[in-house]
Amino acid sequence: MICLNPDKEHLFTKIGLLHRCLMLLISLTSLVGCTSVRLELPEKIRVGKVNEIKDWLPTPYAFESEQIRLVQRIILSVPHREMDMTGYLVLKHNGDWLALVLVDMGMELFRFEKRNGELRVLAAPQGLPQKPLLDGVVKDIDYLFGSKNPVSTFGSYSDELPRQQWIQYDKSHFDEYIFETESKHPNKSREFIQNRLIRSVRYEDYRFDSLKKTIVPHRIVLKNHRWHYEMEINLYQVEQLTK
Amino acid sequence: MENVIEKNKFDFLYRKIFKRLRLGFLLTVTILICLTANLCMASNLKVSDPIIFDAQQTDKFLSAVKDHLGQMNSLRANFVQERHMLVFEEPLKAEGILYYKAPGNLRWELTKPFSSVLLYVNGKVSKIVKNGAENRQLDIGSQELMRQIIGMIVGWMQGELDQSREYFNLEISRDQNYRVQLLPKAEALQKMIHSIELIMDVENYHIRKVIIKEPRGDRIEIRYLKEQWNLELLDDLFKP
Repeated sequence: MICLNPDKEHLFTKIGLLHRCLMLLISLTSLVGCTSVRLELPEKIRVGKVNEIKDWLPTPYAFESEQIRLVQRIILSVPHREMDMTGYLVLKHNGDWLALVLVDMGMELFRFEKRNGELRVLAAPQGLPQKPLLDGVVKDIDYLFGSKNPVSTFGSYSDELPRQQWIQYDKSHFDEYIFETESKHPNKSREFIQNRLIRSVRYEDYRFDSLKKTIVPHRIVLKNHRWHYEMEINLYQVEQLTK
Repeated sequence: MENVIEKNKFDFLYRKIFKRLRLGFLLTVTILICLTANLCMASNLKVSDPIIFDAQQTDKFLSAVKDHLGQMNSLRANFVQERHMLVFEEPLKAEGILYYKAPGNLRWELTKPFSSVLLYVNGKVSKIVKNGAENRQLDIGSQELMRQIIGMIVGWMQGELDQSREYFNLEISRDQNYRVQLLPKAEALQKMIHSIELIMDVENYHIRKVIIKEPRGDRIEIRYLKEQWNLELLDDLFKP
């Protein structure tokens, strides 16, 4: 069940772009909390099959039968600061993963994992509180690359091409994928929990991945609206692991 | 009030992360200094039975470093960096080139798995990431603390290696190679680094490998190749 406020929805229709711009401005200037952006659905939607999401998810590595490792450059941007890091992300066939984040000289900055479905911080600078890490970057990684177990999916189509797809986890938790080109691969996505925008993502530079035998985005830009940072992830290598 | 508390948490989080990044840079330059230091050892040590330097020999070594480093104008070296981890069979590899030009200009350039450049020029630190032909200079934020640290490091590069003893205990020994071990004194640093070990060639005293051992058993190995000393390095190398 999608929680839409009929009054707000009507207001959006009336005021249209101006209101949306105002909402965007508020979201950008807000110091704390998630962006209050309502999930809007078109009139015509079609219910999909949960097991078919792997056909159009931008990063469907969690459906691999083998263990693979992604080598990435990560640029984390917070207000007035940017830092670059090297990311090694191991994705396991059961949906678990291990993420290593290294800085200059190969020094380990972070080590995160998802084991048996539980997200954990294994290594982080001493004294760093874990909650923002778990709530921020760790969930970002899981959102982008982890396995997904939705209860339902549905989409809107134009000439049989997808325009938007939604994945529903519970009555107030949704992922929205937006298809701006005539492709089965999305360009944007947003995650909503309890009518709040948690994170939004752009998927760019789709290129062929010989391991996946399909095209995957080589540049992902994630904006975390809860913790107010942007994370750019550039994919450099996909390797199959034996161990 | 809630906004203020959240903003403080936010600032605290990123300050912690940047402290770790600064540590990475400090190690980078420390190893560069040690790399330069082997030139000084070459003129003072003789190959013989395995020995461990005593305090007097260590002092002599540090004094020699101070005497000789002023003669070095520049350095260029390729490096191969491998991170050996218990969780992986194969090490994680990176490659690059480092440049140093007196009196304190440094370029640490990563070429694989991707390109990025760390520059220290005239007391200013810059970071550039490359994506194809596109260069992007990162806004690395306030540099005050970083300047203080690097100011001390530049002192080392000019031969003030004595300063490293404030943070590390030095153990120098010799078997088939020369081995210089830096053991961190501070408990906070010990939690991240067990030791930094430099392996040097007995023939020409050039450094062959740097090993950074971590308390959990993981280690980073950096091999230097094709070191070239006192080259004429272009100023453009040290421009963002």
